[in-house]
Amino acid sequence: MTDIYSQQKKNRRTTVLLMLGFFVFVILVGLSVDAYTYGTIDLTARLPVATIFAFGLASINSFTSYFYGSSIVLRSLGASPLKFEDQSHKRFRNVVTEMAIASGLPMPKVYVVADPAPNAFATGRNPANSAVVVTQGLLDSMNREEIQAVVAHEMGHIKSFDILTMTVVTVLVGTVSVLSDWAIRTWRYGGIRPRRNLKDRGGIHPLILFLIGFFVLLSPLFSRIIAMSVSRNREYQADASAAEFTRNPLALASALRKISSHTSPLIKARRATAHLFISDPLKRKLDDKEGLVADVFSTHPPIEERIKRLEAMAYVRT
Amino acid sequence: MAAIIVLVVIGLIVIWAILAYNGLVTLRNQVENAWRQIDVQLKRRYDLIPNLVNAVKGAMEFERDTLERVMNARAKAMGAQGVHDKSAAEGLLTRAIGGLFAVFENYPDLKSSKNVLELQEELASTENRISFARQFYNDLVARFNIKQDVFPTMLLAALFGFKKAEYFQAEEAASTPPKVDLGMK
Repeated sequence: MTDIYSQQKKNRRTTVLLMLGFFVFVILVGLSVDAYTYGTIDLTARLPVATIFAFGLASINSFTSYFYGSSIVLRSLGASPLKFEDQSHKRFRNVVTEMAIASGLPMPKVYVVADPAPNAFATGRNPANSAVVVTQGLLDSMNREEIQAVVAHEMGHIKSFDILTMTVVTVLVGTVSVLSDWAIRTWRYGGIRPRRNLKDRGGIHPLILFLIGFFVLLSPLFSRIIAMSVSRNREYQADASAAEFTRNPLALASALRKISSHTSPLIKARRATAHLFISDPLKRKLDDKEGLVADVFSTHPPIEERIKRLEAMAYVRT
Repeated sequence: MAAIIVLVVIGLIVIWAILAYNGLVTLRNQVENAWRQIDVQLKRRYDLIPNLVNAVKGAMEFERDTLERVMNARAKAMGAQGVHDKSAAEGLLTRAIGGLFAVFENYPDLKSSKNVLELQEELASTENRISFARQFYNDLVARFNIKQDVFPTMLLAALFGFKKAEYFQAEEAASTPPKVDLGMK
């Protein structure tokens, strides 16, 4: 791990690879379900109905949230516009303007959530329709440079279209879960019985069929692991962008320390919105761990690792 | 067969030339736009300074030359033309304002005045905006200039007469450290 630019390059490559892998994975799951239900690997024989159907369903679902999601999120978290008689709000607005200049992005809308737990998030489908939201606790507990670093992290998300990336990820996760749900249901209730008349249908070896079924059963777990690694990778990338905009990675490191030392969770945060924040608002224990459980559930990388990478950008020897 | 290969190669070169040329033009426009963004922030600073000076003038009778230095630097910066002169003059102005903020420490009632505090936040923010706009501009200039230096884009840049953009430097401010007066009164 070295300077800002090589970290950014590495993160970009990781995201591209993960997304490519994810697409291949979804196609494999879809084809498996089709192969299992039709009992043949020869896919030229029929349209892969299950794959197309599941992908369509998941797309409709996620792209509605892509277009209308941000106003829903803002309302559900109780985000309110700034009050200019409050000096801290004025300063926050100034900081956002500064970061819009540093990142070369249009000025996003700004909101504050009245909650003492320091945290922040960005939303909006593209830079022209974006919003940056912080909690009052963040404005009260941090100095100017730390607020600047946090805002820069959010601008980093906006600049690299992370909301779009995560929407695509949601589509893929949704596709896999629709597929596996559908497959398990039909197999269990015997709507389609692939094992019967195997030989007539061109015949897959029972063992291979069993493996395919097993793969489909476990696929939601795998898709979750990929999705969470994309999410964590985007966090590292936004940290690196924050360092690029402010040229002050240590300010973000100290902001992250302050956020993590505050132990109470954000009141209105839910699991569905947790991945939007700069640091897990639910304060789940597993965020500080690595391993299988964290791989499946953790939207954010461990704070310590993030701080370590930020210090590397500032050439701090540890 | 050979003719087809030659045609394909020529076609690829033409496509590359179009893309590279457009890339250069886009960057040149972005550099110009970034420069205008700096200008917007500089104007904002020119407008804020008289407000601040008026707000503190009464309380700071004895700091006449500090205030005068700020106003003079402002006048000089407003008159400066071109990237090079402008960056030199602005460097001086930044230093003069820094000197004014340092003197504030000696006036407790100024530091606690809400009006002055607000102006100070506005000016500090403007200082930041200028330096971030400058950072953004300089990054673009670096990308633009590198493109004109690397092979094979350099051929195209030379052919169409692209000129390198100038960095906005804070040379005056950086080369001589600001004087800090620690004299006790």
